[in-house]
Amino acid sequence: MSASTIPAHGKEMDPRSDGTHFPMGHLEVATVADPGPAPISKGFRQQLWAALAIGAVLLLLGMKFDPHRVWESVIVNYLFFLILALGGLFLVALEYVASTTWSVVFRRIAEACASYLPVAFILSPLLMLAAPHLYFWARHGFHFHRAEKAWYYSLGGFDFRTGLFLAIWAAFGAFFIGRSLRQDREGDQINERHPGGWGKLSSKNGRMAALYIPVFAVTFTLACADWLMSMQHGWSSSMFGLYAFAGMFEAAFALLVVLAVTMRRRGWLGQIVTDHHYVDLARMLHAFCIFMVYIGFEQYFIIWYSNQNDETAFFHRRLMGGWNWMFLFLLLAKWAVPFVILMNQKVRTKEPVILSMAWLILIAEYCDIYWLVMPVQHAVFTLPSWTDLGAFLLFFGAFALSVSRLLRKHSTVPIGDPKLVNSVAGRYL
Amino acid sequence: MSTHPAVAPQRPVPAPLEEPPIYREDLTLTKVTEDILAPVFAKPTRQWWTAFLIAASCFAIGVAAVVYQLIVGMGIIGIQWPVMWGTYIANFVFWIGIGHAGTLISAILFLFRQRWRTAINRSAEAMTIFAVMVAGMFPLLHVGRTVIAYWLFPYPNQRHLWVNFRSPLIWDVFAVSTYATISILFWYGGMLPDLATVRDRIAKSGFWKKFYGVISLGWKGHAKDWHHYEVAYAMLAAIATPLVLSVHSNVSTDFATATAPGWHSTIFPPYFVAGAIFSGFAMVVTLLVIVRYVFRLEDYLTIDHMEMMNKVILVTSMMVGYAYFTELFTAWYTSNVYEQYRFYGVHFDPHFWLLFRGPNAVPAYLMWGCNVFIPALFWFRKIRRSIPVMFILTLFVSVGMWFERYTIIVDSQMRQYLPSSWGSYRPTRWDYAVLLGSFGMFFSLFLLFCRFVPVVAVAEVKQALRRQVGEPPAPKPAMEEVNA
Repeated sequence: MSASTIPAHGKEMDPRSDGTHFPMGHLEVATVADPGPAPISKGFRQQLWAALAIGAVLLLLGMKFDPHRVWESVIVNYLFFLILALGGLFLVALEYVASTTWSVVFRRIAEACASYLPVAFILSPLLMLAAPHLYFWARHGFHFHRAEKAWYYSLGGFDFRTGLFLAIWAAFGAFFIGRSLRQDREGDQINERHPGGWGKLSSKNGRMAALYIPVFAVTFTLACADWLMSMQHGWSSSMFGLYAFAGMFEAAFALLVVLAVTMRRRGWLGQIVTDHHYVDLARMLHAFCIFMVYIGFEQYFIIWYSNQNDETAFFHRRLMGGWNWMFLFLLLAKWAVPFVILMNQKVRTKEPVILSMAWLILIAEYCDIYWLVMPVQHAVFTLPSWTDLGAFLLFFGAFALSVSRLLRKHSTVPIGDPKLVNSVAGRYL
Repeated sequence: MSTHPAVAPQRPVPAPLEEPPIYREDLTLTKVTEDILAPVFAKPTRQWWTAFLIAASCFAIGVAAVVYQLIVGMGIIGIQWPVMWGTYIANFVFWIGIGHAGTLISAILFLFRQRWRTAINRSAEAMTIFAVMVAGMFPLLHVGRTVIAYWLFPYPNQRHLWVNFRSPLIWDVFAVSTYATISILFWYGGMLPDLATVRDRIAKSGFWKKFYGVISLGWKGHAKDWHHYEVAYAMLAAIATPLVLSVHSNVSTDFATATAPGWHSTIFPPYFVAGAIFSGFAMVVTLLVIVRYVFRLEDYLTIDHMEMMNKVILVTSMMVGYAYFTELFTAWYTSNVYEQYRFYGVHFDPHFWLLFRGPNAVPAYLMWGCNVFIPALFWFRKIRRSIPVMFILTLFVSVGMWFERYTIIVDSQMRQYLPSSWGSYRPTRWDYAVLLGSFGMFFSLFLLFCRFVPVVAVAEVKQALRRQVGEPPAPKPAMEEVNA
């Protein structure tokens, strides 16, 4: 059976079957088979543990030969996997607060990404240890000892905020995942006050998500100011939090695509995810690559146009010494290529196309963080070194183990959600 | 080749949910046509005349003020060095922002398949066009020499005028005129089936039958007509979607590309777009509360519609609040002392007895209060569903958003880099007269619109109703066949 057919319905889907409207609500699905937990083999998990261990060894060796480079690698890779987890949590919260139906089939995957957050909290001392080596203000004082900011931009303040923000995010993540798993076990009653099909548990989650999103907006902005913006001494941009957010959202979506396609191919999602859902994923990926370029372009444009030297320093550094090629790659991979290719409705159901676009965006997000961090430390373009490989293996191992732990212990879709059947059938209320 | 092995069901899963009805169950297609077209055929009521006379009088005051300004010159309004952009620019940004709700509802909500938009899109689009018309006047008045405002357009260059394409003000000309064109096409295109309905319901032939015949472009309701219509509508929606973001982003660059402290901020484009949608939705709610009361359209503009819009207002209010927060944080974070003074010095005077009484503190507090704190009341479902409360709250939003633009525009000019370049600004009675006139013009046009054209998209409501009642039964494949 080819991957582009819908086994549950036994016919090819034509997304344009009625001109402008996507076919909705005409598919008859009476019950949904629970696909059960993902059968992730013990051998695979052992490989992940091995990757983690090799990464740790490489970093320890790096401490002996090139300690500064180790801290650079740690921050780049730590932040990359952290934003993937945060993006997963944001998708979960967004689903609750907007009461969407289409994304319910993917919620468990997003929750699996978010389940890395407590691990990120445990690993956060690495970030705190890296701080004294990477930040100009840690050595020379923020803006050369401006007294009114010294309390905030001190190492103590940095560590405190890093821990606090990660704890807040991990707590919210644990709340949402816990409620979702409870829904799996106990099922959910339809809440009569919400005819849109909210269960009672999801209804409460909706309220919590409405609280989480503003909290997240503020904490994430402050965290990005700490971790990334303050690395470039003397530079500030009010758009920066939004820039990091746009990258996070795009990358989290790309990861969702990668995981969903891989899991469907292996049959771990049963008959739940159809080409229908691929179209939805591809559309959202398309929309958010436009959002990314909008935010990125406006930030660049306003700084370029006004041409004030304290602001252009940011781009000056990143468009010189070989870093400009990376900038060009970001423009192509985060926007131009996916934008053009995903515009076509027909390719949105083609597994290889959306998978390759998602991989491209994920790689580009890694490069984006590299491009934000490294030019401050190295004026001339520097390739990732073996310490980067070490840090990548360490955090990748931790991330992938968290993801697979949730997926292999629980059903790969939120089986108790009252909206699941509609989500499978493409009946979006 | 991948396979999808069938897995046996392990536990029962709830049955699929039914779509909640948008409209009342007992509405028939005929009743929809009659109810919505009633204001077009009936003689204007007393309420309509009262509202129209008030609006037209305000408009007349504005026209008188503008004529007087054209005769005696710009000196009568409040602008003076160093504040050379005054309320006219604030009005321009305010009204352009109001227009954004229409495009959002008609284009973005259409692409998102939000079917609740069917009842509100017509009036929101009309409102967009009137708001853009009102907004378009202000740059013309503001340039002072209104007679030669056409120099802004790049026409063949016999007179050696060099239009400055590097100036955001010129981009505005293109952005706003594109926006107006697309909005009008969208509104008019979507109206064709309804105009044909009006034509067909005029019994005797005469001027009005001919008039509606001409403006409905010979719509017959054939399958072919509908096919072209649907395709064109979807295409226009896709074209109009970037406009929702681009126009106000462009307006924001009028300020953000300048180097004045407080204007030069990278977050301005999305911040302005969020603010525009926020104020636009507030204005739509204000207008619809009036329309559904005056024309008895409570069955079509239901309380659920109003609640949806209030939710959008709540979300965009938080986005605006986020932008205010980042502005304050960046101002504190930055090494630029001018930027810091612009945000903290203007609002918090260092002397205790002047605390909260900086030179322009009141508009700033109105901005925070009306845009961030008051709309937060929409967190409560009861408030989102109460017509009188939402009417008052949305009026507050309009006030707050006007003062937001006022604060952004005026404060930065009053406190530029050198203290010797500081100055003050106070709008005169002529500023207020023109502002009043702009509201008068907007409401007059909207009230006229309600009299000549169906306020709610009849054809779209019928489609939604059809979906709700159910299509004629189609042959369904048997379950065994489906699962084979």
